[in-house]
Amino acid sequence: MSLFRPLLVRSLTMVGVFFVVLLMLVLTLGLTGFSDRILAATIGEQLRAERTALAETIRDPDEMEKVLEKRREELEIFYGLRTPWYYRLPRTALRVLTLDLGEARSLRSFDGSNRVFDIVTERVPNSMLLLTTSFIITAIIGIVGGSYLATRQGSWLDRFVSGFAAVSYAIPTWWIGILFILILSIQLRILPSGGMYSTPPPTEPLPRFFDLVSHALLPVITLVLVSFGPSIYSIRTITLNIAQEDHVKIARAKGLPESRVRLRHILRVAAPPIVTGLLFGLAGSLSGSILVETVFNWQGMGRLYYDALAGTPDENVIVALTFIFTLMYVAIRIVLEVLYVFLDPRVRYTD
Amino acid sequence: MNTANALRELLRSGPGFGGVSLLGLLIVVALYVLLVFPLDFGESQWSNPIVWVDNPKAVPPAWTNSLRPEARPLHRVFEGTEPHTVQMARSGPVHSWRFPLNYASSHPPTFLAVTLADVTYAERPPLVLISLKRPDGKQLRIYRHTVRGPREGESGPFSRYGQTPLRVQLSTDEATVTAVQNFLADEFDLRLDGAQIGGRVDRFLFGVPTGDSEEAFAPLTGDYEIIVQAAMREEGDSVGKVRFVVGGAVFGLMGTDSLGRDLARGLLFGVPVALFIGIISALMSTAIGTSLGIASGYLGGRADITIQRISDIVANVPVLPLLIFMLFIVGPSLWMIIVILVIFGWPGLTIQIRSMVLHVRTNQLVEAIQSLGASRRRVMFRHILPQITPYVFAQLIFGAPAAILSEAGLSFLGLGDPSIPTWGQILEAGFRTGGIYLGYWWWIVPPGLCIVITALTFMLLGLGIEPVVNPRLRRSPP
Amino acid sequence: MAMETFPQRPSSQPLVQLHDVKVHFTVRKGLFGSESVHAVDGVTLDIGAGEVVAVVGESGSGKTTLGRAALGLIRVTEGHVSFDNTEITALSQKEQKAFRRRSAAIFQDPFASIDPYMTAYESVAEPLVIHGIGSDSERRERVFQALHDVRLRPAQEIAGKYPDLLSGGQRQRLSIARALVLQPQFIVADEPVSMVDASSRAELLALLRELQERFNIAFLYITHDIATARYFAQRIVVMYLGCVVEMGEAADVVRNPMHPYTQALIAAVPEPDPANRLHQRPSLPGEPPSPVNAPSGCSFHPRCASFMAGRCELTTPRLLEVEPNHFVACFLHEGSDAYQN
Ligand SMILES: Nc1ncnc2c1ncn2[C@@H]1O[C@H](COP(=O)(O)OP(=O)(O)OP(=O)(O)O)[C@@H](O)[C@H]1O
Ligand code: SF4
Ligand SMILES: [Mg+2]
Repeated sequence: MSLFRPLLVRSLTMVGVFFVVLLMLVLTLGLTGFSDRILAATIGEQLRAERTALAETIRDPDEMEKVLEKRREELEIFYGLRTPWYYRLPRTALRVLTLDLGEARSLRSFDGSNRVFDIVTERVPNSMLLLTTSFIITAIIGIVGGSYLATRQGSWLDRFVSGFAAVSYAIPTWWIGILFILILSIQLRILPSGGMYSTPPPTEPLPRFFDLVSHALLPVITLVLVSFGPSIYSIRTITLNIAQEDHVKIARAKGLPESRVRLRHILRVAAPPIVTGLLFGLAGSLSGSILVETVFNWQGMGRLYYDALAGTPDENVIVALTFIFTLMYVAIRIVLEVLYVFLDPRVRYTD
Repeated sequence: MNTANALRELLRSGPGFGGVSLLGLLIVVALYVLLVFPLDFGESQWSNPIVWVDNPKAVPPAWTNSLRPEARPLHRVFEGTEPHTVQMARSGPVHSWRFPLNYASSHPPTFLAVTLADVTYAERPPLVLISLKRPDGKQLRIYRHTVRGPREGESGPFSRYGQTPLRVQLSTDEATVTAVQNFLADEFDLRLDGAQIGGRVDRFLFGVPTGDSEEAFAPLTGDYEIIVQAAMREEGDSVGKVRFVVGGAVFGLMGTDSLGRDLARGLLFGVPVALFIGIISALMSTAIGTSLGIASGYLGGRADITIQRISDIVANVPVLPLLIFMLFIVGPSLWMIIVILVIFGWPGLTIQIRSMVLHVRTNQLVEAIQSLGASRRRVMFRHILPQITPYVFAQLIFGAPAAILSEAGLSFLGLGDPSIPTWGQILEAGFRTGGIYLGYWWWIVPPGLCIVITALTFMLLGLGIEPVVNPRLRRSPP
Repeated sequence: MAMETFPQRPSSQPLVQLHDVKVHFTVRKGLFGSESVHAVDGVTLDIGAGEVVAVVGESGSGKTTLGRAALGLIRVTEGHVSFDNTEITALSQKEQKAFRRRSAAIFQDPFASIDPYMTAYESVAEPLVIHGIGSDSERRERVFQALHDVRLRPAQEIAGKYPDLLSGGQRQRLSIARALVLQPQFIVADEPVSMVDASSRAELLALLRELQERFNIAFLYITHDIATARYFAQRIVVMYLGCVVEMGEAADVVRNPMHPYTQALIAAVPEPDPANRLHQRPSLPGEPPSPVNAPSGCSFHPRCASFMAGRCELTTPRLLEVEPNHFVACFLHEGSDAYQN
C-alpha cells in the first residue's frame, strides 16, 4: 500500500500530462480554425489534380465546374469538413492515439517514405542517443562533484561552482553550441560542424562508430556544459542539508570512518531528492536538446521540428512530433518514477 | 524594513551591485532606444530591404581594422541636398556637389552606388554627370544620366524620383563600365573587354596597374574627389538629394548581416524588447502563480486539490514542444509568445507559494488575527501576503531570464515575431543563412552575448535580493 | 497572595454558556478512508462575568479545541455556545464582529501568534484598526496604555520594534496587550505561559491575575498544570478525551479530588509551589489517550487504578453533582452506594 499510493499518484499525474497535451493540441487545432484550413487545402489540392484528369474527358467549362463542385461536396463530407471541429477532432485524436499520423507534405524519411510515422520514429533513437548520453554524463559529474563539494563548503571552488551554476541559468544552450561550431569547427577545424556521419559515411563498423562519436562530441559537450553546474550545485546543497541532520552527527560521534558515513549515512539518504532533482532536470534537457539538435544538424526529433517549420511548414509532422515527444517524455518519466519509488528507502520502510 | 535600507544592503553584496548596475545600464539603453527609434522599427526599417541597400553585406565591424595588419576599406556615404556651387552655363544653371574622399585602404571599395532623389524641373529634364578625380591628377566621368523626360499628356512642373529614388549600382552599370574601359585605354593603354571590367570597376577606379598582368591593379591611396554635376535647363529646376556611397568592407560598430542591416541597430532595439519580454512574462506568471498559490493554500478543500492537480500536471508538461506547436498554429506574435510562456510559467510558483501559505497558516497567526475580528481578506492581504511577498519578489526576478531565454530559443527556431526584431531572431537569420559556417562571428557572438548579459542581470539581481528579503535570513529590521 | 481572598462566584446570569458542545474532526486516512476525531465530546459549562475557569487535562484531551469553540473560532459539530445570551454559532458577520470586540484570545506560542512583519505598536493597534475605534491620537493613547498595563517598558522604545527583537516573555506580554486593548469582557488564554522561559512564568501569571482583577475580565484559562489552575482560577474543569470528568471550586477540586484521573494529576505534581513547577507535566501510567477510538464505557478505564470490571468498561458514567458545586463523572461516586463510601 505504501508503495502503491505514490506510484499511483505519480503515474496518474503523468497520464494527466499526456491527456492535457492532447487536449491542448486538439483545442488549438480546432479553435484557431487551423484544422479546417488544412482540410480545405487538402481538398483543394485533390480537386486540382482531378481537374487535370477530367480535362481529358470534359470539354465544356460549365459542366466541368458543376462536376468539380459536386466532387468538392463529396470530399468535404468525406473529410468531415461539413461537421464542426469538435465532432471531427476527437476522432482525429483517436487516430493519432493509435499512431496513425498521416502523411508529410514534403519531408521524407531517410529511405524516402512520406508516412509521418516513419519520419518521426526513425529519429527517436538518434534523439535518445544524444539525450541519454549527456544526461548520464551530467548526472555522474553532478553526483561526484556535488558530494565532493559538500565536503569543501565555503572554499573558493565551492563559491566558484555556485557562481558558475547561476551563470549557467542565463546561457542559452544552443548559442554555446553555435560558438563551439564557430570556434572549433570553422576556425580551428578540429571537429565536424554538424550531422551525425561524414559524407559519405564510413561503412566499416569501427570507423563508423568513431565517426559517430566525433560528430556527437560537440552536441554532448554543449548539453553537458550548461547543465553540469546547476546539477553539481543542487546535489551539493542536498548533501549538505542531510549532513547536518542528527543521524549523521550520531554516526560521526560513534567514530565511524568518514567514507562510510558519507556513503551510508549521507548519500543513501540524499539519493531520493537527488533523483527527483535530476528527473526534473530531464524535462529541461529535453527542451535543450531540441535546440542543440537543430544547431548541430543532428538527425533527431528536435532537428525535425526545425526542418518541418522551415519553408512551407509540414503541419502533420509538427502535430505528430509534439504528440510523440510528449508520449516519449511521459513514458520515460513513468519508468523513472517507478524506479524511483522502488529505490526510495523512505517509501519502502515506512508503515 | 524600508526600501532605502534594503537597497543599501542589496548594493553591498557583489551580485546585487553587479545586477543593479547592469540593470541600470540596460534601462538607460532601453529608454534611449524608445526615444530615438521609431516604434515600428521592425516593419519600417529592420525588415525593409530598401533601408539597407547602400550598406555593404555581411561585413565585420569597423573597429576590427585595428586588429588587422592591413586596414579594410571603410564604408563612406556622401550626401548632399543644397548644391555646393551653382554656375551659370549657356544651357542653364549647373549645380555641383564636391565630396572629398581620403582613401587609405590597401583594398579597393566593395562597390560604388549613386542615388538621386526629388528632382523637379519646369520643362526639360536636367542632366546629371558624376566624375571621379584621383590623387594622381587623372579625372574621369563615371556616370551620366538624363532625368526622365515628360510623359505624354503630362504637364509641368515635373517631379521625378520622389517616391522611389533612382539608385544605380555603378560597379555593374554598363555606362560606367564603358567609361572605365575608355579610361584604362587612354591613360594606361590597357585594353580590357566589358566582361573583365563589369562588377570590378572599383579596383580599376581606385588603383593603378602593377604591370604584372593586365588585370593586376594595386590600390592607389590618397585624396580623391567625387564631383556630381546637374545641368539644369531652367532657373528653379533642382535635384533634391544626391547620395554617393563608397562601399566598405567593414561597417559601423557591429558590422552588418547578409542583407546589409546594421547589426548595431538591431542589437540596440533588442534591449527594450528583451526587458519587456522578461519583465512582463515574469510579472504575469508571478501574479497568476501567487494568486493561485495563495488561493490554494488559504481556501483549502476542493479548490486546493483542484489547483494542486492542475499545477502538478502543467508543471510536468514538456514545455518547448508544446510552445513550438502552439506558436506555429496561432502564428508568430510577441504577445502570443508571452501569453504562452505565462500559461506554462506559473505552476512552479503556485506549488511553492501554497506550501508557504500553508506554513504561514498553520501557525497560530491566522487564528490569532481572526480572534481580533479581522476579515478573511484582511488576514490574507495584511498578514499572509506580506510574509510571502519578499519571496515572490525574488521569484519574479528569477522568472525574467527564463522568459528571455525561451523567447530567444523560439525565435531561433524561426517562430519569432517578424515585426519586432529580437536577438534570437538575429541569431536565427545568421544560422539559417549559413552565417556561422562562413565564420561571420560578429553576427553570431554579440546577440548571444546580449541575451546572456540581460539574463545574467536578472540572475545577479535575484541572487543579491534573496538574502535581503528572505525572512529566514533577515534578522534585524530597523 | 492568599487564595481565600478570591471573590465568590457571581450567581447572576453567566456571561458564556457552553451547552453540550461537541467538536468532531474528520481526518483523511489512506486513499479513500476517513475517521472521526472526537476532540470535544459533549461539554456543558458556564462562565460568569469576571469569573476565571481553568480547564486542565493531558495533551490531546481537547482543551484547545474547547477554547476555540468558546470563541467561535471553530464550528461546533453539535451543541450551543452563547455569549451574553446570544448564540454565537449563528451570528451575522456584523454581530460576529461585535462579539470579537468583546472577546479576545491569548495563545500558547508567542512566536507564532504575532505577525513578524508588524511592529509592536502595529500589532497592538490592529484590533482598534479592525474595529475602527478612535482617532489616531486616541489609538495611540490606548496602545501605549495597554503596553504600559502589561509592563512592556520602555513602551516608547518597544513600540517601534519588530517581534524578532523581543524575548519570548516580552512577546507574550505583547499579545496580552493586544488582547486587552479592546477592553474585552472575556478572554480565552490557551496555556499562555507554557512556552515562556521558566523565570518569567510566575511574573506573567501574576500579571494576568492582576489585570483580570483590575478589569474584571472573565477568563477561560487552559493549562496542563493543575497547580497554576488552582492559583489563577476560581473553578477548575478537568477534561479527559473531550469530556469533563470533574468540575468544581478550584480549592475543592485540588483539596478533595474525586475522580481517579484528577487524583492522578494532582499526585503527579511534585511540589505544591506553582511558580517553580509549572513546566512539569503530569505523568500518568499507561498509554496517553487517543480521541480517535476512545475506550468504551468510562474512557479512563484502561488507566484507572479503581477500575471496576463489568461496570466501568460497559457504561459511561454521567457527570453528577456529588457535593454542592462539585461535579464528578465516575461510578465510584454515582448513586447512594458511592456516596456513602
Ligand atoms: N484541526 C484538527 N483536525 C483534526 N484533528 C484535530 C484538529 N485539532 C485538534 N485535533 C485533534 O483533537 C484532539 C484534541 O486536540 P486539542 O488541541 O484540543 O488538545 P489539547 O488538549 O489542547 O492538547 P495540548 O495540550 O497538546 O494542546 C487531538 O487528538 C488533536 O489531534
Ligand atoms: S468510572 Fe470506573 S474506570 Fe472510570 S474513573 Fe471511575 S472508577 Fe475509574
Ligand atoms: Mg492545546
